[in-house]
Amino acid sequence: MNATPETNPTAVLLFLLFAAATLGITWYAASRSRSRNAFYTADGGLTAFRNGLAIAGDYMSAAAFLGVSALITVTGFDGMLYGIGFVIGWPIVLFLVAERLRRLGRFTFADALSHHLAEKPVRVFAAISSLAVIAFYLIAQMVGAGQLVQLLFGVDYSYAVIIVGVLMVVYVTVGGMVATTWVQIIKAVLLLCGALVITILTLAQFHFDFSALIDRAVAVHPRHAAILAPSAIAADPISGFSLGIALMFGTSGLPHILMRFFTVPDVKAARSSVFFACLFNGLFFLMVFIIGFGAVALVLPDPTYVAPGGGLRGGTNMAAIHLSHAVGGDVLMGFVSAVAFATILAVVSGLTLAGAATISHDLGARVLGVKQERLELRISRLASLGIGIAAVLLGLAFRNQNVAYMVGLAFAVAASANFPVLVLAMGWRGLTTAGALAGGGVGLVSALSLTVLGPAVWVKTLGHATPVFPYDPPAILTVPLAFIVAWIVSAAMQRKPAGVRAEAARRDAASSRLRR
Amino acid sequence: MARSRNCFTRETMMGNDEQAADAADDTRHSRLASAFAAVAAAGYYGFLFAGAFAPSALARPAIGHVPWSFVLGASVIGGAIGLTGLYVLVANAREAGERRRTGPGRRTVPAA
Repeated sequence: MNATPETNPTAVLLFLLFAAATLGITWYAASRSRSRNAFYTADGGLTAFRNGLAIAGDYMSAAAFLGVSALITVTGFDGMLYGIGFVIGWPIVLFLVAERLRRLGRFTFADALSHHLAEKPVRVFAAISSLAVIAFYLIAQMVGAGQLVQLLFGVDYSYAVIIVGVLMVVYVTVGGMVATTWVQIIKAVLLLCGALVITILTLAQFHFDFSALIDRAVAVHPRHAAILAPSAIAADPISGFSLGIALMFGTSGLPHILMRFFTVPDVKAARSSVFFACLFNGLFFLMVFIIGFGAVALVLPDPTYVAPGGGLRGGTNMAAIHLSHAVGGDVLMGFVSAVAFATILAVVSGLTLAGAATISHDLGARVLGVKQERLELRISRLASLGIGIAAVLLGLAFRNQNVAYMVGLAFAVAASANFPVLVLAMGWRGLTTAGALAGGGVGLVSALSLTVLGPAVWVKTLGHATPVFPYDPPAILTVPLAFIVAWIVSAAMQRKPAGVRAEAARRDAASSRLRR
Repeated sequence: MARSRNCFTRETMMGNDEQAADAADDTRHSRLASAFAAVAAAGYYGFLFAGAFAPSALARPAIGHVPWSFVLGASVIGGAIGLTGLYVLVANAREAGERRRTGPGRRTVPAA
C-alpha cells in the first residue's frame, strides 16, 4: 500500500452525499426505533423485495466485489469458484433454514435454538459462536476499509477506520434495524448499478462479443489459456471441496444474515426475500466475472495501471477500480470508489446490529434475565457502541496484517458451529441440549484451531514452513464432525430431564401465542 | 440430508387431528426442501468435481470461444436462482392450498 493517494473529487462528493442521505434516514428512523421489535426487526414490516435487497446489501461485501474480481485478475477461473460458492449458499439458506427460523424465532437465531433445548446454555453457546463469527468478519471489513479508503480517498488509514466506526455506530444505535436496512438497500442498489455500468462499458469495448473479450484476456494474461479452467481445486481437490462446503453452508450460519428473516411479516415473505437475495447476488457475481476478465483484458496490458515493480498500482484489489477508470474515466472511478466505501459501511452496520442483539437479547434478556424492554434497548445501544470501539481498535491493531483469511474463518465457524446446531435443533427432535452444546462446541473449536494450524495462518501469517493441518479451510472435516458429535452425544443421553421438557412445552405455548 | 421429523408443530395449542395433519404437512414440506437442497448440492459439487478432475475439459470452447467452465459456472448460478424461485412458487402455492383446506384460523392463534 505505498501508492500515492490521489483524492478523487467525484468519489468524495458522492460519498458525502451517501453519508448525508443515510444519516438523514437514521435521524428519521430514530423516532421509530423505540421498541425492541422496531430496534431488532424494523417491526417486521419490510416487503420481501426490500428485505431481499437488504440481505444482498448485507452480503455483497467489498471483499466480494474487489476481492473476487482481483482473484480473477490474478488466477482466472479460480476466482469465479469463489463467486459461485457465494451464490450457492442461498438455496441452502432457503431450503434448510429460513422458513423454520422465521416460524420459531423472534429477534436472533438463538431464539429458534432454545425452543426444545435448555435455554440458558444454548443461548450462551449461540452468543459465543455468533460473536466469534461477527468479530472475524468485522476485523476483515475494518482492515479492508482502512486500506481501501486510504487508497481511494487519500485519507489516512487510522482516520478511515475511525470514520467507518463512527458512522456504523451512529446508524445502529440511533436508527436500529430501520436505518441499517436502508443503508443496505441503498448500497445494494448503488453497487448493482455500478457493476452494471462497468460491465456494459467493458463489453462495449469488445462490441458486446464476449468471445473477443476472452480471446484478449487469454492473449495478455501471463498464464494464458490456464485462466479458463480451475487450477487450485485441481491441484488440491480436498481443500477445494472444503472451501465449497464452507461457502455453501457458512451463509446459513451467519448471524447478521439470519437476523434479517425476522424483519418481514411472515414465512411467505421470508421465503420470497431469499429468492430476491439470491437473484441479486447471482446477477452481481455474473457481472463480477465479466469485470474480472475485463480487468485482465483491459487493465493488465495498460502501463497506466501497472506499478513500476510489476503488479497493479495500489495492489491487486484495485483491479475493478482500475477497470472502472479504464472504461469510464475519473467520474466512473469516483462513483465506484464511493460505492466501495458505502459497501463496507452497510456490511459492518449489519454485523454490529447482529452483535448488539446477541449481547442484549440473548445474553442480557434471556440469560441474565433483564426484564424491562427499555433497559434491554439501552444495553443494546451500549453494546453497539462497545462493538464499534472494539472494531476500531482491532482495525488499528491489525493494520498491515494480511487478514484475508478472516472472512474464511468467519465462514468456517458459521458452517461448523452455527449451521449444524441450527439445522438439527429445527429439524431433528432427537437433539438434546448436551448434543447441541457438544456438537456446536466441537465445531467451533475445531474450525478455529484447524484454521490457525492450516496454510493460511500457520504458514502465510505466522511464517512456519509447513502447515500442521494441510487443508484450508477445514470445513470438510469440521462440519461433518459437528453433526456426528451432536448425534452421538444426543443418542447417548437420550432422555431429557422432565423439567427441561416441561419448560420447552411452556415456551412453545408462550411463543405460539406471540406468533401471528 | 437425513429425513427427519420436524419439531415445529404447535402441539400444545392444537387437537390431535390437527396436530397429525400439521405434522404430515411438515414432513412433506421437509421432504420437498431436502429434495431441492439435494439438487442444488448435486449441481454445485458436480461442477466442483469437474473442476478438480477434468479441468482441461472445462477449458474447451463451448459457445464461440467461451469455454465450458464459464457456461457451466454461469449455469450453476442461474440454477441456484431458478431453484429458489421454483421453491418459492411451490411452497407458496402449497401454503395457500393448505389455508383453503383448513381455513385461515388454524395457523393463527389469538393472543390470550
